[in-house]
Parts: sequence; structure tokens; C-alpha cells
Amino acid sequence: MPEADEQHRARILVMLGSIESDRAALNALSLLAGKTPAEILGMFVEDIELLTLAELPIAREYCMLTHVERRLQIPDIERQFRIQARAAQQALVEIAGRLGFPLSFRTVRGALTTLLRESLAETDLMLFGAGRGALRIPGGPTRASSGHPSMRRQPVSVVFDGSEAAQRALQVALQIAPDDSIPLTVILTAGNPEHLSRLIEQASRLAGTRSLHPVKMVNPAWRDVIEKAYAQHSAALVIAITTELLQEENLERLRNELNCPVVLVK
Amino acid sequence: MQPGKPLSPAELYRHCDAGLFDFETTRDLEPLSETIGQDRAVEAIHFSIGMASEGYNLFVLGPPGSGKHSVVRGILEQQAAERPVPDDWCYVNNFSNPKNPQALHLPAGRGTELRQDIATLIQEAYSAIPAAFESEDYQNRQQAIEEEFKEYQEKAFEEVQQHARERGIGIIQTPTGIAFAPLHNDKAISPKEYEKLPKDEQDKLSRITEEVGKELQRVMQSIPQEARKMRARKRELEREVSMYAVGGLISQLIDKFADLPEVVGHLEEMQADIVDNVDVFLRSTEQHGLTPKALVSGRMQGMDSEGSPAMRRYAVNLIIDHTGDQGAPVVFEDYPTFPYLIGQIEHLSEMGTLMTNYHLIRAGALHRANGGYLVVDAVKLLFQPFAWEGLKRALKSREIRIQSLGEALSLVSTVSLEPAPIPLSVKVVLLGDRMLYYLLQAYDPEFLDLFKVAADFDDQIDRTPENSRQFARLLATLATHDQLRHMDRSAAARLLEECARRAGDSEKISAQIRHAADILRESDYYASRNGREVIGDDDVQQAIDARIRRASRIRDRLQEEILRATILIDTEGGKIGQVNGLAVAQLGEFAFAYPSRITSRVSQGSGEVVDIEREVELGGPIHSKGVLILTAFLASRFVIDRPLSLYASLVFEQSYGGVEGDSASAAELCALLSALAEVPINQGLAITGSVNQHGEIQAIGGVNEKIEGFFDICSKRGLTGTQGVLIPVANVKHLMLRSDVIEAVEGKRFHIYPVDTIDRCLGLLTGLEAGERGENGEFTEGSVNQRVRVRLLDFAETRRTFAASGAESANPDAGS
Repeated sequence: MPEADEQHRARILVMLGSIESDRAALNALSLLAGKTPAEILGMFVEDIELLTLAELPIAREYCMLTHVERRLQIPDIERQFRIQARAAQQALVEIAGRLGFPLSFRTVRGALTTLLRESLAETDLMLFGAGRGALRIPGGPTRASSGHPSMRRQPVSVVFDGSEAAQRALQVALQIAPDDSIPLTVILTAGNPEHLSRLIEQASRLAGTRSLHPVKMVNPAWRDVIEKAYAQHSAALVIAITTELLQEENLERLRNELNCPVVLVK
Repeated sequence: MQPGKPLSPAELYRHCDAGLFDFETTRDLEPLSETIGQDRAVEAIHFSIGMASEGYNLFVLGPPGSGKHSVVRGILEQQAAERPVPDDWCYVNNFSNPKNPQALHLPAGRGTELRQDIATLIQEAYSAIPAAFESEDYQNRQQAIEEEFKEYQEKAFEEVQQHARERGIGIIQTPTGIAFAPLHNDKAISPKEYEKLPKDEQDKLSRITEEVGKELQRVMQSIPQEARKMRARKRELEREVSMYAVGGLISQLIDKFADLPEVVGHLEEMQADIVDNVDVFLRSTEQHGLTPKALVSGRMQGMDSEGSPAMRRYAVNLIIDHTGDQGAPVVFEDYPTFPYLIGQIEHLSEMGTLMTNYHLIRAGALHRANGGYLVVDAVKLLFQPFAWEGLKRALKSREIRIQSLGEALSLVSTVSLEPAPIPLSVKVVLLGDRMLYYLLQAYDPEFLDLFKVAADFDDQIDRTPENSRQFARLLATLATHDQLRHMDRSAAARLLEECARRAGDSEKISAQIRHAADILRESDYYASRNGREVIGDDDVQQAIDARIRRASRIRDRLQEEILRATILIDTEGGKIGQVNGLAVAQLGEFAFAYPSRITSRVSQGSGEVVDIEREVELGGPIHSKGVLILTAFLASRFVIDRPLSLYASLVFEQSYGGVEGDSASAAELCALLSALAEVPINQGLAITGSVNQHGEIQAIGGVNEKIEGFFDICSKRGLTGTQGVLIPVANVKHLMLRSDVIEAVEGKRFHIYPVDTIDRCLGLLTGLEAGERGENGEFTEGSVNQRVRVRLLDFAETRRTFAASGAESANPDAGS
């Protein structure tokens, strides 16, 4: 993340799709944006896939609240999109107002991964909510809210491969989890074991006195990295944007399989 | 004493011989630990205290100022000191039914221990429980439970997802749920693609979609059940951890109070409740605004508004604390309202609603006196709404059940409590006057069931040498207690004489200790002004004179009006049908008397003596009774063989405030006989006494004041040497007259005549012989009685003549 000065505010793109599943993303935004001057670019994504799906005469929807199955209807989905968009905008207005940051908000219909790639040029940070894997089931705990209220200490995770982008990602993670009250898990991805130890040193140096929980991976595939991140039960995952990550397949995986908000750092 | 003869000065006042006392000043005397001459009452008090049976409570009755309170206090405190200290009582939360707080009793002093121990336990639990829940061990175990559930949830969902995928169905999250649709190349099939499919393929996809939906539904419906199991396991874990955190602390308390099964039971319930409600401790004390110091400082009764949830739930409300007490309690309740007596449940306003909890239960006087004695002023008790009913209910049921009046009367429907009743064992002592005692006895059928013993304090005590010496010791005690100057023998003797005068009897001493104490204090004041170290008899006299002076404004105004002839009173010469009666007025504690002119007029009539006072409703029933008695006397003595053909009227001249009592009946009879006999009465004399049907003179009250009242008028007009007062013989023993009256009698300027019959009165008042009935049935010729009989016979004859002439007029043929 570039150093902020009076002329430059970090542009944070917040991509929201459902206010319920994105609440954790909003929490992460509060922590993140509170540390440095920023401009919030709110975007509500009306999932085009869902609308396409609804056009099918046999498409069904199962309501998680009432356990009732019904026909999937486009007007219903659009109505739900409008409600969710209003709620998302309201939440962002509140956060931006509290922090004193400028806010712009728009609703866009499309695929999140496509929109994400398209927005890359105009932002420093991108943040989107828990993926489709974080199913919200009434009566059960979610990854984002487990344990006793006073005892909740979910870690913030960051993927670190030693690159400059990864270093910026680590800096962002340190902003979200500035002290030991929030554990910081560093998923170290090295090409070989020797590289791993260097990465640990590098990360420790960047973290200063802040303690880190390293998770070591040697030459992992993206799928494995995401699975490892999933297993951390994180409050947020911070990842540097790389060419590999921007591949459709990897972005889809992030979107579909991860159970926590994701912060992408340029 | 000889009836009809003037009394000697010695018969007018019974001096107290200072030689009776063997002390120089009352400082030499031993303080008096008991009362004087109230043996009957003291015995009754001891009897009531000794009777353990139900209903043997005590009503102490007697005149105000008789020392009832101090005697009762002295005896009760003495008895209480020998009895064991009763238990402490506290209210604690009833965890199974919070509306019914539980009452616990502990040996004296251990209530405080329990309260402090539980406060300390709460304080420690505030550290121990969060520490246990923050431990890695707990976190790990909790996460393991959650993980297990999550795994179940994911596995189930993944199975459905996998199964669906195998059958070509995809699952995608929607804003409100989960959608599923056929896939093509891992993407949802587009509507166009779907439409291109053959009909049977479409039907197949539709069926499969439906089946997957049902499968998903089945899986999803099983998740809440698993979630419940998961929560139950987490709860069990919390219980386990809580038990680990507080179990040791509570076990220590259980060991400490092992000899008190009720307390142990409560501690066990408390342990179970803490385990079930551990959340209470998982918020910081700072969040509750409660410092650890406050937790242990025992501010239970006043801390409710600032108390933490844990304190509100578990702290002990110690309502009765006998720590450091010696013996049983003796409680004097000066303000016996229902709540102050029975206890009360206070409320706090929270968000406009009145709320309460067991910490707001307040003890009443019955709680404080439980195991000992409760002393209450009966009048104050009866003045307070429902206090008497509340006390009786508690005594009958032998338990104290706290209930607000509003609730009892269904006046309010505020959320309230029904604290467990506390067993009651108390001896209640009511203090009141006699009238109240007898009214309660007459009108409250439960009264005698509950107050079986009456301690009746006498108004006066015998003036024996022993009692006189005891009286001196009482003065010594009062002087020491109030840090006053002590009295010399003459002063003690003078004060004793004053108390005899107060009793209205030369052979008694007033039991109104307050009166003696007041004069002692006032004598001390005058002794101080007179520069004396010890109170002398003249200081006492000065105090008495000053009291009379302060109280006598109305008496002086009345005498002034008599002297100015506004009120007509003759003190010289003779008048037919007119006599000086004597009336007493009681103004507060000051009594005085004044002469009142009584007149009578007679004429022929039908045997009627009209009491004008009664006719205009200014005469009381006792006065009317006296008039009727003298009418009967008149008829039976003078005209037994004729109809009483008389019309007579009797009146108290210039009396506008009502007349009561029969002490003027002798005077009224004399006025009537004077009018009948047409014989004048000496106006230099006044008479007091009641008369019976046989013409005997009977005792009256206020004899000293009456004599002094007439003396004052005569004295101020100038004593002629023929003036005096006729009093009943039976009242001679009551005489304790003022020194100026005695001096006048000594100088034969004033006379006090004891009289026993109406004839003796007539002789003295008219200067004529009253006359005795001879063998012929006639009275002595020229006597008053003879003149009365002749007059009455004349009336009878006249009436007969009138009656006969009337009959002739009515029947002209009869006489021819």
C-alpha cells in the first residue's frame, strides 16, 4: 500500500454482494481504513450468474431461514439485490462518515471476478466478502463468529512470498492486526525449504515486535494456499495481487471457496 | 374531727416530717433500681416475661407520666441480658423461584461472615471464571466442538453438493438461500441451452433438481438439531470450566458452614446456578461500575443500584445482624407503621417501571426484636393504618411475612416479591392508658387471645414511711440521671407533700413520676438562680408557685370577674334559695376551682324538680342523677303521705359551659330546701358534696382546689371570720391545703366544716336547727325541715283543692 500523504488517499474498493455475508468485510474495512487516509469506493455486485440461473424454469431456491423450497424468480432476486444494495450503501456511509472519508457507491451487474479485474487500475486495495463457501446456516456458528463473545480471537491471515507486493500485503495485515490481541498468521509460500527460513526472517523483520504465527508451505498450488487459508478460520485474508492470482480460475476459487473477507493488495 | 365542727389546722395538711429521712442530701442515697409501690404491675410484667406460652404478651396500662416506659425498659433489659442472643437473619436468592427469596438464619455474628465470604467469593469468581474461559485449554476444546459441528455441516453440504454435481446439478448461494440448477461445463445451463433439450431430458433435469432440493432440505433440516447438540456440548463445557473455576471456592465455604445445613444447601444451589449462568461473570467489574472494595465492604443494602449482576444475584441481604450483641434484643419502636413493624420491600425505578429484588427487603421492628422483646406505644400503633392488624397476624401465625400494604390491599400491581416467612418468637409489650386497654378488650375479640397479661400501673402509692424513703431515693436517682443538684431533706419532704397534693390525698403519693421529675428539674433551676449547691424546700416551693403562676391565667381572670361582680357571687349575708356551690376546672395538668351560684325557685306543681341545666342540655348524666336523687329524698322525707305537689327549678347561675358530676347535689338540695322553707342561707359559706337518697353527704373530688377557690374570693374581698366551706367528712383525709388557707384557719378567719348529713349542712348554712322527726311524725317546730314539710303540705292541699274545684266545674250536678 503506497504511503499516504495529504495529496494521496488510498483508494479502497469494497465489493459487496450480500450484506449478511459481507459484514465481516465491513469490519475489516473499519480496521483497515482507520489507520490511514483513504477513499472508499463502494460497489454492490449484482451477480449475473444468479440472474442467468433464475431464467431457468426448473431453477429452485432453498430458503435457509424457513427451509422452504421455491421456484427461483428473477423479480425476487432483483428485489433482493436492491434491498442488499441499500443496506450495503448505508453501512458504507456509516463507516465513511465515522472515519471522515469520502465515499462513492455504485451498483454494478456482472461477475465479481470480471469486475475485480476491471477495477484493478483505479484502486490500491480491493476488499470483498466471504465467498460462497461461507454458508450462513441458522442455528449454527459461522466461521466469522464462533466462541464466546469475550473470547473471540480469530486471526488475520496474510499470504507472504517475500515479493514487494507480499510485503505491502503484510503491512496491510499489520494495520488490521496491529498488536498481539489479534493473532496474525503468516502463510509463507516458498519455492524451497531454504527460502522458507529467509521468508520467516523477512516477515519478522517487517513485523518488528509483533509476534507472528507462521504457516509454512513449499511450492504450493493456489488451491492449496486457499485451503490452508480456509483452515485458519481467519477474520480476514490479505493477499498480494499477482498475475497468477488474477487468473480466472484462481479468482473463482477465492470467491467460491474462501470463508472470510479477502483483501487484495496491489 | 367532729362533723359540723370546724377542722383544726393540723387536719388540713399532712406534713412530711423531714426527720423521716436519714440523709443530708439525696446524694447520700443509693439509686433506686426498681419502681415504688407498683408491685402489682411489676409482678405482672415478670409473669408475662416468664410465660413462654402463646398469647402471653403484655399490655402495660396506667396514667401518663407514671414511669411505665422506664420500668418496662429496666425489667426487660435486665431479663434480656440473661437470655441468649438470637440468630442473624438474611435473605438470599431463591434460584428456582426468584419471586420467593429464601430466608436463612445463622448464629449471631455468622450472618456477617456469610455475607463477607460470599462477597469475597464473587470477587474471586470475577477473576477465576474469565481466567478459566480465556485459557488455551478451554479455547481449544470449544473450537474443537465448533469444528466438529462445522465439519458435520460442511460434510453434509458437500455430500449434497457432490451428489448434485454427479447428477449434473450445481448449487449457488443467493441473497436469501441456496439455488440449484443443471450444469453444463461446470456452469449453470443457460435458458437457451435448456430450451434446446428434448422434453424427456428437460423432465429428467427437473426431476433431478427436485430430488436434489429434497436432499438438501433433509440435510439442512438436520443441521439445527446438530447445532443444538453442539450448543449443549458447549454449555456442558462451560459448566465444566465454571465448576473448575468456582468449585474450590464454594467448597471452602461449604466446609466452613458445614454445621448449618440450610446454608450449605444454599451454597450448593448457588454453585449450580453460577455454573448455569456463567455469563454473569464474563463481564468486567469496571463495566458494572463496582470496585472490588465495594464488593467486600458489605454495602449490600445500599449497593443495589450500582451492584454488579453477580452481586445482585448471589450477594447476601443480611437483614438482622446481631454481631457483638449481648443477650436478647429489646426494641422500642417509636414509629410503628405497618412497614416499619412488619418489614418492607422497597422498589427502584428503572426506565419508569418499579422493580425490586431480594436486596431491597428491609427488616421491620419484629425482625429486630425476634428472640427478644418489642415495646410499642399502643396509641401510636393504633393510629397507623393496618399496623395493629399486621402485628396481630404476625403474633397469631408466629411468623413474619413481609408483604407491602399496596399488594395486600390489591391497590398496586407492581412486580414484587413474596419472601419466605421468618419464624417469630417475640414478647410484645404494648404501653397505653386504661381506656385504650378496656376499649380493645371490649371491641377486639382477638385482643385477649394475644395480650393475656395486663400490668396495671397505679395512679398513686401509699404514703408510708418506707415508700416516703423510697421516694427520696427516686429523687436521688432522677437527680443523678439528669445531672441535677441534689435535694436536702426539707426539699425532698416538700416535694413529697406536693406529690401527695397531686394525688389529691394526704395519705397517698402520686405515681406520676414525670410530675416529680419536672418539679425537681425546675427546683434545680431556681436553686441555681438562688446560688445554692443543694436544692432547698424554698426552691421547691418557688418552682411549684411558678408552675401555678404560669398555668393560672384563666383562674385569675375568672376570680377577677367575680371580684368585679361580673359573675355574681355573694360571700356575705343571707339569701333564700341561693347557695355557693364549687366547681372544678381542669386545664391540662392544672386544676382550679371557683364558686358558682346555685339557685332554686319553688311553686305548687305536680312533683317535678326541673334541672334547668339538663333541660338545656348543659348538664351531664351524673349531674342529672344527683338531681333525681335529691327529688327522691325530698318526697320520701317530707311528704310520704301526700303527693309531692311541687314545681321546683334548679340552676347554676351564669354557667354557660356545662355542668357534670354530682358534687353539687348537696348544694342544690340545700338551695331547694331553703326555697321551700323560705329560710336564708349564709352566703359566706360554700358547700361541696354529693347527697344520697337518705340525705347522707358523700365524698367528692378536687376538695383542695374547691376550698382554695372559695377562699381566694373571700380572701380578696376580706375575710370576715364567718366564711368557710362545708366538705364531706369522707374528704377530710384528702386535704392538703395551701399554707395561706391554713394560716387563715389558724387565725379563725376561715373555717372548714366536715359534714356527714344534709341536716348538718342545713344547720350550718341557715343557722337554724334542721329539725328531727318526732314520734308524731312531725319535725321539730320552727326547724328548717318542719318549715319545708308545712310548705309541701300547703302545696298538696292547694292542689287537692284545685283538683276538687276543677271536678265540680266539670260536673255541676256532682256537688248538689
